[in-house]
Amino acid sequence: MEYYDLTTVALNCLYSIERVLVGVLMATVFGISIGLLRSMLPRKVKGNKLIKLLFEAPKFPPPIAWIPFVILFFGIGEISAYVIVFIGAFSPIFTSTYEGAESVPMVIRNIARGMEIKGLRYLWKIIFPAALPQIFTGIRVGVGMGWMSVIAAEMISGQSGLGYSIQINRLNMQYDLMTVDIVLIGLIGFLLFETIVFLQKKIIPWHEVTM
Amino acid sequence: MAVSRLTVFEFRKVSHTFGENAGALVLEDISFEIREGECVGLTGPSGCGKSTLAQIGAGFVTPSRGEVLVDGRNLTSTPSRAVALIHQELDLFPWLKVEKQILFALQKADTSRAKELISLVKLSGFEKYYPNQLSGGMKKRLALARGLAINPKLLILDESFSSLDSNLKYDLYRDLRLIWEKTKTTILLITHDSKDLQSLAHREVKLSAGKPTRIVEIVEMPAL
Ligand SMILES: Nc1ncnc2c1ncn2[C@@H]1O[C@H](COP(=O)(O)OP(=O)(O)OP(=O)(O)O)[C@@H](O)[C@H]1O
Ligand SMILES: [Mg+2]
Repeated sequence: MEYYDLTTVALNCLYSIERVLVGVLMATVFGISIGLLRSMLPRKVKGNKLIKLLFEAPKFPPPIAWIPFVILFFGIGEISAYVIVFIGAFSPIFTSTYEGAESVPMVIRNIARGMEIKGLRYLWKIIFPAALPQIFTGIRVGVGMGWMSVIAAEMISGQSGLGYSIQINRLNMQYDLMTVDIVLIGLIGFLLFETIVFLQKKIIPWHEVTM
Repeated sequence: MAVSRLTVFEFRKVSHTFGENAGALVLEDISFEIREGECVGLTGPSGCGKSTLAQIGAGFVTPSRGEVLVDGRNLTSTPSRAVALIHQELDLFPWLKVEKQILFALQKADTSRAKELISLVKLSGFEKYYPNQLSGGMKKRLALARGLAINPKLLILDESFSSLDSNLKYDLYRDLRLIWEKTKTTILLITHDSKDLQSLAHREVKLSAGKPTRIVEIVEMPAL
């Protein structure tokens, strides 16, 4: 176990965690904003098949398929790692925000309209809180996608992190250490998920869940 | 109790069909006025179009024909603070606690006014509760307080208490009566059961059973 001292393990974990947190945070901000704004488009625009295509098609290429382009544009380094995580986490957050905003019950919309709440205030004070339960579902999925993406990115072009560690251990044929990495990825993924569940319970206690 | 002669709200020749062309006519030629401070009951069998008329009154649904006038202004398909509707279904904002719910509905956030309204509907002590922590009856009371907070020209209550067991229902109607005496809010009270209107409504507008629904008669109720 000479290469695998605890400091290296801890640092690799921290690198990966830092990347996923930054990327998911960016994806959350942009995913929620763009998802909410999309729901404000006029009905005709929303229903337009070409507009739908523009929003929906980019979701399908998996984050790993974007890696060559991301490296081309941002080089090998932290920025690229953030962008890969962003690509992985953005779609679920964006989609669930949009769907959450679209499924706000008519009675809630009516009450808001009756109070003459309009424009950005309507978006921020009514649609956003009403969509929060679904937004959190998106963030839970997004953090998982982001976590998988960062590991993949580190395996392909990393200089550090758990994905990079797997790659090094593979080259050294240290399958026991690889196993440690895999287990850590699972544990940290679980902790990330639980963190979002914790935040959800703090931020929207009015939404009952049994998680 | 004296009611002013001033008309605040009017349905004028309202007809409604769901679906553009082939849809069934639901409401036909509904016209009646509501005077300031009056409580008008609207009754009719289930499915006859009471909720549809309520939504038209609040401006949420555009009638196929006819107009909604508030203080003489044409407010057809224009939701506004002039008319507040308490829906048949639960329509509270689940993310706002009792007090916030009221503050949000007030034109200007005024904590003492919110307190007043909360105590008017007997929810004092529950200011920090979310709607899902309240009982069914309490939710209805909160919706009522919120409707009053909007300070509308007309408050429409669509079967507000019908889903509750009969004891609770009559308690709430009695409270509504007391609240009306204090606030003199103009009310359109919708129910399928004329009995609910006793000692509450000044007049009853009776709707027919449908296909399409018309006004059968408008009856003056015994003086309150
Ligand atoms: N959005 C809609 N699209 C098509 N038809 C509708 C729609 N909403 C209501 N209807 C129809 O209009 C009629 C009147 O419905 P409405 O809900 O107004 O009745 P109601 O008198 O309030 O009934 P209840 O006493 O059960 O509440 C019903 O036949 C219903 O099926
Ligand atoms: Mg109804």
